[in-house]
Amino acid sequence: MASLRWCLRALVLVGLGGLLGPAWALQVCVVSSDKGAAFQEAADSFVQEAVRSGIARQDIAVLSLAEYLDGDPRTADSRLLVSLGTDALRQLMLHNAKQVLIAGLIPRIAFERVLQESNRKNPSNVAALYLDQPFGRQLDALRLAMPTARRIGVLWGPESVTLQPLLTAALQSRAMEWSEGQVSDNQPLIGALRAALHEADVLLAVADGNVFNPSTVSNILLASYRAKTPVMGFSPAYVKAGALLSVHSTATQAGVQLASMASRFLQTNTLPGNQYPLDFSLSGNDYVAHSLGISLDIKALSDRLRKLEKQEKRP
Amino acid sequence: MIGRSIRSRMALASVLPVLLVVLTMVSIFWQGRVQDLEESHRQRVDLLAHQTALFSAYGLFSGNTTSLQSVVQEMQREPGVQSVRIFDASGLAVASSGRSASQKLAELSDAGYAASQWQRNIDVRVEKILPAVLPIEDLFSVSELPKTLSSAELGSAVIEVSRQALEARKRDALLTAMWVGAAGMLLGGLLAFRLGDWVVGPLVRVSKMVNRIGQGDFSIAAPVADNDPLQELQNSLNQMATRLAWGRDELERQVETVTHELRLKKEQAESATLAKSRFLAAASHDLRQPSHALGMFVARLGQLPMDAQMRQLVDHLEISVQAMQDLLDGLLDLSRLDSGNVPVRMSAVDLNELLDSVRGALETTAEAKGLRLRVRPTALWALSDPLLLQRMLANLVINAIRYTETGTVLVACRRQGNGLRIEVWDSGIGIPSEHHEDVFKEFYQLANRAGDRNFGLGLGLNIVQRSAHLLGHRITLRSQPGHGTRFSILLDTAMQAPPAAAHSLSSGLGDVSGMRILLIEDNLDAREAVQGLLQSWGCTVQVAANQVEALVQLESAGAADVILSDYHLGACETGIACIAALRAQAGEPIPACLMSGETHADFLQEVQAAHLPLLHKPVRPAKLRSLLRHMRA
Repeated sequence: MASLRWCLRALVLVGLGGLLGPAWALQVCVVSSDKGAAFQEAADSFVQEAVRSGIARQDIAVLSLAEYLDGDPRTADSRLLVSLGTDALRQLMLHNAKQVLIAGLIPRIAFERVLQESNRKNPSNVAALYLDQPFGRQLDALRLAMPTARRIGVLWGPESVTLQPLLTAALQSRAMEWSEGQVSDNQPLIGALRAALHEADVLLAVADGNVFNPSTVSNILLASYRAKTPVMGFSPAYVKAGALLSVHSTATQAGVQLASMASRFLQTNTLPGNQYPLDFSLSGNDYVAHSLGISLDIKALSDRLRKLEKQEKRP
Repeated sequence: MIGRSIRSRMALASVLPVLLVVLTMVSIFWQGRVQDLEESHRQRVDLLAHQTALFSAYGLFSGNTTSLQSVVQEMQREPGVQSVRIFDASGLAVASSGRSASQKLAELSDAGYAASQWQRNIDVRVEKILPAVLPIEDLFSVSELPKTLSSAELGSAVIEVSRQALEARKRDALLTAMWVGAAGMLLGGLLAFRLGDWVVGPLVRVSKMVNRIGQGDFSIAAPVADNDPLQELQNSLNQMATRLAWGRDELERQVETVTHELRLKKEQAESATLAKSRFLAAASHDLRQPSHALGMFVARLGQLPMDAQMRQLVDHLEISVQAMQDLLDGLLDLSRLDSGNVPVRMSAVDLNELLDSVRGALETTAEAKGLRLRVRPTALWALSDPLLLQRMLANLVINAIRYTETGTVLVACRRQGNGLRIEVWDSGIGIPSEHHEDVFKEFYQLANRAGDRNFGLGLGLNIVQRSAHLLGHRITLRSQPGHGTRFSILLDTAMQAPPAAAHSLSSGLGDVSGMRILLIEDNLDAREAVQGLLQSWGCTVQVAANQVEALVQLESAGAADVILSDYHLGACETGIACIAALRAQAGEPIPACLMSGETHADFLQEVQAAHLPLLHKPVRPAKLRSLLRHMRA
């Protein structure tokens, strides 16, 4: 049935092409994992930014994953595919081994896992904009919010532990200490959590669903609270759940950065490397801050963090 | 009695629904209450288990056995909780409180264990302890999450709760339901009885009133209350009683009026009957003397020598006199029967002899009319008065001869059941069925409306019926016009009487000639007539007009063989007294006989008391002769 529908669409397009003139191909095709508000927001901001950067609107197609899987012919001829979300990336990797692909709205460890699972022979034509924030930005934000914090606790999962060197480097560059625990199969989480919280001033949550998920977050937050250790989350949802602070990028911010990456590729035909988000937002939980005796001014903090990052970028 | 019946039925009809409703409501209440209690208990046990699991989640996550122990002890303090145990994910008990039959999670989780504890009134709940789930919605959570150990259950909480409190509350509920039911039934019963009284009271009152009206007491008009449920009925009953009372009074007045009128009519009728009887008695009495004398003279005349033409004339004269005397006899008999003082002497009667006597008396009459009178011989005896029975039979035969022109009159006797019947058949004109009753009325003649006196006065059958009534016999009639008539006398049989006791109807044998007879008669014609007749029979006759003359005759001629005396002798003498005086004078009971035309009761009783034979005037010469012969014998 799908192939029949595809054939019909192809016939229609061929017919239209015959009437309108020579064949025409898309520049960018955006495939979204989900029709949720965040994905729509990201897609909209992508389109706006891309159009703003000179790409014609008609050269941009925004498809849902379902539409893509139905065999929309436009995807086959587009120069660049943009995936939004882990599922979209996995499906595009599965069905398009050769087209250039930029992955967005995907945690770093998820991107690496999908890339590992895929059979793409040339990973160089795939680039990603990570959803999670660089450790340095998170640590800077922490230091700005809690200048006295010196020791960071980290709870690693089986996948996120691969990021350990990145964090270690960031900590060391900031002369900070750390305590860590690794969650492993068949072992209660509490052991690793205790290890991570050991004398830690802040517990840094890493975006690893094996460790931080709806089933564990409550107990982790409760245990941290009892240990009088604030938690730094990686999304506003964690702040809402009880984390003190989070640095994150919004879907709009991600869409803008993705459009920028796409524009560059279309102009230079060179794919940029994997990137952390350039723009970010901060959110904080005033109740938790008040409970822990911490003064938290998100607006000022955000400004200071941006300022700090600008300073660091200067030579 | 009616009131009690209605009341009991009413009570039953009122109490039964109340009973059913109360029982149903109590049953529903109790069942609902028990279900509520069960549900409440179940929810409580579930809640306790859930709370234990909830409170233990963090303790198990954090491995804090102290907090877990405090949780189980806290739960243990809840009423009815028997034991609380918390197991970790590997099934190891990490906190426990209270006593339970098993310590292992596998056994405690077993359905069989729960069933056995149920038998002991203990509920067992096993609740899995799961980590508290906090919904996180961000872009990270959209990424698929591989399942890890951390999302698995943390352990299990087992709580055992006694059902004793529940059972006690169920018992309390049952007790309450029973109390409520009993109170409801009591109240309902009282209301039902009260209601019954409201309904039954007026009914009973009305019922009693109807009973009293039924017994004829219309004088009750029960007061009607405004709230009486049977007000309309009571008003109608009161009106009915009043109208009935008026009706009865009116009826009584009418009955009284009609009774008065009837009484007047009856008195008039009685007066008329009395007048008729008096007339009959007087007429027959007054006619009797000349008739008596005429009979005697004609008899005397017949014995005189005369030529043939004269003889024929005398014979016709005799027949006419005979007819006239028969008519007078009929009137006399009717007069006697009217007076109701006909003596009845029941005895065994030889029917053969009786039938013979009738034949002997009437054979000549029948032959004179060209008829054959046949009497079938019989050996039967009947219980009756021989004289009255002979008169009845003679009347029937005379009647048959009168109404038969040709053929035979048959008299026969036959058994019927325990009794017998004497039948008189004739081949006469017959009687239409519509006149079967009329022929027994006085002066009723079927075929003699023109008044032919040869048919008599129409008294014969009336006399027969009255005599039968007097004797206790029954008369039947079977007849069709042109096919003759059969009259039957039904009477009882009697054993054959010894010859001496049997009343003989046969005339005494022997002649009367030579008999000396003292004839006492104040009427000159009659005296001469009887004297002449007696003398023609060869008797020696001494005559006297009164007692004095009779005594003189006794003195002069000596005692006669027979004294033949009239009853009325002058103004104040009677034959009875005269005979008594003569007998006293003679010093011997001279055979005597009275002759009289009197029929009234006092006279007859007097004659009966004097034990004297009585010849009713006009005396038939044959009868007189027969009596004389009998007295001589």
